[in-house]
Amino acid sequence: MYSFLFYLILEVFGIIFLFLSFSVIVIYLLIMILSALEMRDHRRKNRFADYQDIITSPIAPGVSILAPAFNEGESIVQNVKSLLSLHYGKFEVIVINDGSKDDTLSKLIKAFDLKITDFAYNEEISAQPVRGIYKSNNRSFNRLVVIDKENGGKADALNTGINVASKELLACIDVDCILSHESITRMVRPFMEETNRKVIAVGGVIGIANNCDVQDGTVTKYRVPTTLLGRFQVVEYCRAFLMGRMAWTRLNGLMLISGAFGFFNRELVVEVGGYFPKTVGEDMELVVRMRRYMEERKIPYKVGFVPDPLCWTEVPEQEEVLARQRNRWIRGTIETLQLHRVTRLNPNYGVMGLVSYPYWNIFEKMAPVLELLGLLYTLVLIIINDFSAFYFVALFVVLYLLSILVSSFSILYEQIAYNNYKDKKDLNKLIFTIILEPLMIHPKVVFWGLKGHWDFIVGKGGWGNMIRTGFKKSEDKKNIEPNSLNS
Amino acid sequence: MIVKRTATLVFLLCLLIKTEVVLAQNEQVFADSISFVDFLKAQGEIPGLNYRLIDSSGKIISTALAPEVGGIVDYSQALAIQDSVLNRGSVESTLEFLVYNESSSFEASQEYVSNLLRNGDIVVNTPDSVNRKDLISLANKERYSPLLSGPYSYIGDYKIFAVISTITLFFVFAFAMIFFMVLYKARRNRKEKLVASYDEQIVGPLSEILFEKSLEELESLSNEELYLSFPENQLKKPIYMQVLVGRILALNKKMKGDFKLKLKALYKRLDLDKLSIEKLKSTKWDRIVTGMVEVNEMDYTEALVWVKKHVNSPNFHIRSQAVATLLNLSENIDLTFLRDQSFPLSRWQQMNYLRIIKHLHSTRNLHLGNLFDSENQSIRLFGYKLVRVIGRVDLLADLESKFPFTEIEDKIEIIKTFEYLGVPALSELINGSLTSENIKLASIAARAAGVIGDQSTAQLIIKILNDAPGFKLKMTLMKSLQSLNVQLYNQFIEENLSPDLQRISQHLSDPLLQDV
Repeated sequence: MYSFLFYLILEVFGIIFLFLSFSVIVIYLLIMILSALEMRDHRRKNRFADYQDIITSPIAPGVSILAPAFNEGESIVQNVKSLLSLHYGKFEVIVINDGSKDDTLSKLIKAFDLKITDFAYNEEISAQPVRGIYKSNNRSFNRLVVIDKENGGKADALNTGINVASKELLACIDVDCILSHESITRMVRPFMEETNRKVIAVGGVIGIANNCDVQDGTVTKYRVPTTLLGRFQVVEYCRAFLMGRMAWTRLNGLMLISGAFGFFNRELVVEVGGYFPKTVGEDMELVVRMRRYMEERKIPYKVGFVPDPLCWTEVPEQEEVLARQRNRWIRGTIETLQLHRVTRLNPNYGVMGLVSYPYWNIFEKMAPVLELLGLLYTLVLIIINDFSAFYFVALFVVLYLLSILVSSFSILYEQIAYNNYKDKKDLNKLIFTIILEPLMIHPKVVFWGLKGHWDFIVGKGGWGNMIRTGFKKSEDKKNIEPNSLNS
Repeated sequence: MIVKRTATLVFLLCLLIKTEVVLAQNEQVFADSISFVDFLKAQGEIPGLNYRLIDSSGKIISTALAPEVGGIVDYSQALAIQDSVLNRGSVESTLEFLVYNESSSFEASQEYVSNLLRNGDIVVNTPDSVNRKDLISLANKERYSPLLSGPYSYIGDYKIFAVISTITLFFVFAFAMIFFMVLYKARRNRKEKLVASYDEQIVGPLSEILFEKSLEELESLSNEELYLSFPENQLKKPIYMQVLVGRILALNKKMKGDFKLKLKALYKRLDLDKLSIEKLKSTKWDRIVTGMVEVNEMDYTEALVWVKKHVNSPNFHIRSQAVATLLNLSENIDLTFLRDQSFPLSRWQQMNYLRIIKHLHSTRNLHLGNLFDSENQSIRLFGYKLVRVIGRVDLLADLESKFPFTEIEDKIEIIKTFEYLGVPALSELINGSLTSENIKLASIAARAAGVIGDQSTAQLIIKILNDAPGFKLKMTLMKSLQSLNVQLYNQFIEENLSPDLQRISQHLSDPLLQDV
């Protein structure tokens, strides 16, 4: 009886792994096709767009740029100056000093001649207490608002910024990101173009600035990073932004807008209760909650995506830092999916419930666990002498080649659409990385993912028990008391 | 339907495969009576078939081994009994066939057994042991060699074949992608160099023609003269033409007066206008839009007939560009055609049209008021925006009269227009909206009240403030009250010690926050 059960389980697992492998292949091929169609349309549309008009048009929406800063003393002044020089008519820059322990605030006060004001702060979204709101005496910095508040994390800082923001759209960014001068005009376009659906949010591409030349807030010369880890992230970002998100945009199933560069409809963000400060995946969580809100009210909507290179950041090239980042990402994903599990395979939530959620659950959240299980399954087969080396190697080779195919496709996108890496040597380095990545970097990424899962289970990283129960409605977040989250 | 048919076909194929051992009804199972007899001997017992011995008179011969009832079940045994009967008493006997105990002829019995075989109701006895022995001995004599050897052995097993095919396919695709990427990169770099080189080739002659030739000279240029500047063989190359069109369009944007006319003449002389019209007739939306952009940039009014056809196109981009081109180029067109559009107008389209209308309204009567009567709300809203952006104060009376009968969104835009132009409106327009249950309308009215309200509005604001509205509305109302009547505002602040109102008051009096 025992033997029968054991072999039955083995058989079932075999079928599951075969099905998963097949699904991975089919899904990636579909993603390639969908993203190609979307990219083609985007490029065609872009040919006829005149972005100069938006800068001065009275019809263009106003934008509040929210830049949370924590211990950014070294670069804050330069970064804020860069933000203030963006080419757009109606915008304000709100820097939120999230209880920095360094001289971030004093540097800002000095550089921009700031004075504390009697701003009537209205806490539409609850956040940590505000110590003061500063404006400049100098008319040149009229667009700048600096908020000094108690430390509460990035999401909390953003919520404070949302409370102060006065424009129609919110641009939530990382203060250390480099934004292209025309970043606002390009990101605003999807909000202005749609007629039948409400555009609730628009995501942008994050470019990798490591080893690149930056002048006046714009990357002038692209070079691939010097380390393999850095180059791996170039490939990965191309795959995620130019392929993955483009494909999801085609299906209107985009669930994640990068926290480093995303535009949102302010009214709706306030309506759903702003960012959820108890999660490290606050960017994804907000998008999912906004989508839920729209689905629950049956309001036609769209989450847009602009694949143009408009924002750059430096990525970690040290393994420990990257490991921490990946650990945080996986925990954020688990958290968001747990919170919104009511949408899982729920037809009431449309594409998000039926397609995006299951995809994220299986191929993003569970991917490291499934890969580990696959490895264990292979070991068991070897031990019981039921292992077919031929099929194992065949499957391995197919998945390896799929990885090469997908990665090279995404780099090809970059070459077709933007051709930023003009030097042939850079392309060769990227090809080399594509070939090495599945063997040298991917196992580490899986390990970091597993570590993230483990940390989530043991409650490392500030997770409470309460938040694992999931919200019944998108606005339930408002009703959760901060104290209960830690119980 | 196709799926259904395929399924049926597959099912029939399966059926064919499964029934390959079942013989057809009319197929001969036994070639002759001898083979039938041999079969009976080999088979032994056959269900439903018995035998008995009869003499020449038809009487049943009964023996211990051949009972009268039931008969003999084994054919070989029956033959043996027949022999023994013959030996014992020299009695002439015949073997009679019984099918289900009914006497049957030899042919009928043969047919019966054939049927059993056809239907697979009996299993044919094969001398297994003998055969196996034979096969083994044969195999031992032959030296073993697989049927399919070398690379063919992988094709022999369909599973292995499928796996290897998949790997090969992925291998080819993956490395083809890398190869294509490298190739694409090289081609793109080459194209960029080519474009730069063509650009250099074009700029010189283009400047020469523009600056050294008059319009008449340009129009009367012979082909030979033209080909000296723009070689005929180059004009056949798509990239060259693309660069040429791009360069002419870019120059046309920057130039004015005579130069514009010269560029247009050159555009026609090089037959680029025909290319633009060809694009307008295309089925691809991006080519159509490219054609319209060229027509628009070159002020090529002759092509408006084709442009007009696209004004109501279901494609957003075609429609937008067609309207923009028509507004820009047509001398006798007003906004009536826009009023009748059924597609909603996006902000992006509004922005583009606004730019053109702003430029045109001083020289042409566009009948802006027509837009207010559109059944399409987005067109009406655009009309109100136009009034304020181009400052058509003369149309405000019309808006005021329409105000009570319009929808909430219309009301909001009309109030914004009055506020923007700073023209006092009827008290009903602002006071009525201030008390609206629609929070958006009330907020807009509250903001506009400071600019276009009167003393009755100030009194109404105080009344609303006493009803404790939300923080945002409170702040807007107080700001308006401050603008309308400072004395009343100060008095209200002194009388109300609510922390919210005090905070708002401090905010409003802070000089750094005047624009926040």
